[in-house]
Amino acid sequence: MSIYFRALLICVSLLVVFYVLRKIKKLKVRMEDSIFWLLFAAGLVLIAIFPQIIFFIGNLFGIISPANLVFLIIIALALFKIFTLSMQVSLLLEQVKVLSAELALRTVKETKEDKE
Amino acid sequence: MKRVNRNKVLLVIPAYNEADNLERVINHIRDDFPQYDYVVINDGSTDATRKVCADNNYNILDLPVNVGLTGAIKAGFRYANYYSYDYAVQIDGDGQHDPKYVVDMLERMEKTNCDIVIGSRFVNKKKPKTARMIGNNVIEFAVWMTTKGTKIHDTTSGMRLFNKKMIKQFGYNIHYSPEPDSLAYLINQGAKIEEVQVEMKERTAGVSYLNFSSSVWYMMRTLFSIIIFQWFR
Repeated sequence: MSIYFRALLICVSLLVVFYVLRKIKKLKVRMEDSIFWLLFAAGLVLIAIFPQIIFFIGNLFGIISPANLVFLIIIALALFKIFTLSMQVSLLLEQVKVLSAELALRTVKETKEDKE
Repeated sequence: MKRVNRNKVLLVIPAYNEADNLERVINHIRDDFPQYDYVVINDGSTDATRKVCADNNYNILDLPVNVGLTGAIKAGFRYANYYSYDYAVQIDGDGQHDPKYVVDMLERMEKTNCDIVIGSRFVNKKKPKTARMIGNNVIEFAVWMTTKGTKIHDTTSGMRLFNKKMIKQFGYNIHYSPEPDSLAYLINQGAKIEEVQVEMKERTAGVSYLNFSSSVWYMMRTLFSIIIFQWFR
């Protein structure tokens, strides 16, 4: 890994941290949901400072270019995040269904009680 | 369901699948402490919690979906704000917390003019050496470290008394959850927090909100929040 690539990783990570913390301050994201992104950025910084980690894992799996392994790790983590988000969206959709059903039910109950 | 606001103290009782405990807890409050208003927050329970409340004619805020403890408490605090209560007490629906201590907590709040009173298990009692208490100690240390040495003996106690200002903050701000990280943050914001010694019972039926993996997540979330997010929120 070239020194430029490592510098790029560090710069981008710092930007991510700055951006996430700003969004917390602006009440745009819950604190527990931003833990993933901070750990993500910390991981990239770790890799940039100690590229030996990448060389070691690369050797283990026969990946010649360390940069490719970095991309692979980033893609894997991003896919993982997409899946967890997908799960959360499913749950939210289900909750919206329950909420609208309950709202309708309770409105009917109220109007019936009013008529009596 | 407009209620006349007889009193200024509201007991907020979050209940998730507490059908087996609820009657004992609420009847105790209704019969022995009629001076307090209470509201049961049914957090989308899948058991008979709602039916138990309806049969006994309990005052219930019936959430249609499960939103978790934080969301249930938030709903309760909004209720308190809506009906303009001066004080809100968070009490578990499983009977761990005895409402007889509320009077001590109220007295302390009125005497010291503080914002939050914690019903604490460890003011003048030692912590038992269990896994849960190790976590409790770690959080206590983190709070102590980030608040210029403020000692809170029982940061994870679920029995807390809040004044009007706190009711508004906890009810309407995305970052406020009734957890230790908010206590640390509030101390640094100049809020006054006091502790009163209470006894807590073991739960007799039902399941706790916390299991192992959620405990690990809880610790991580809390420590992240106290050590890092506190300075940016």
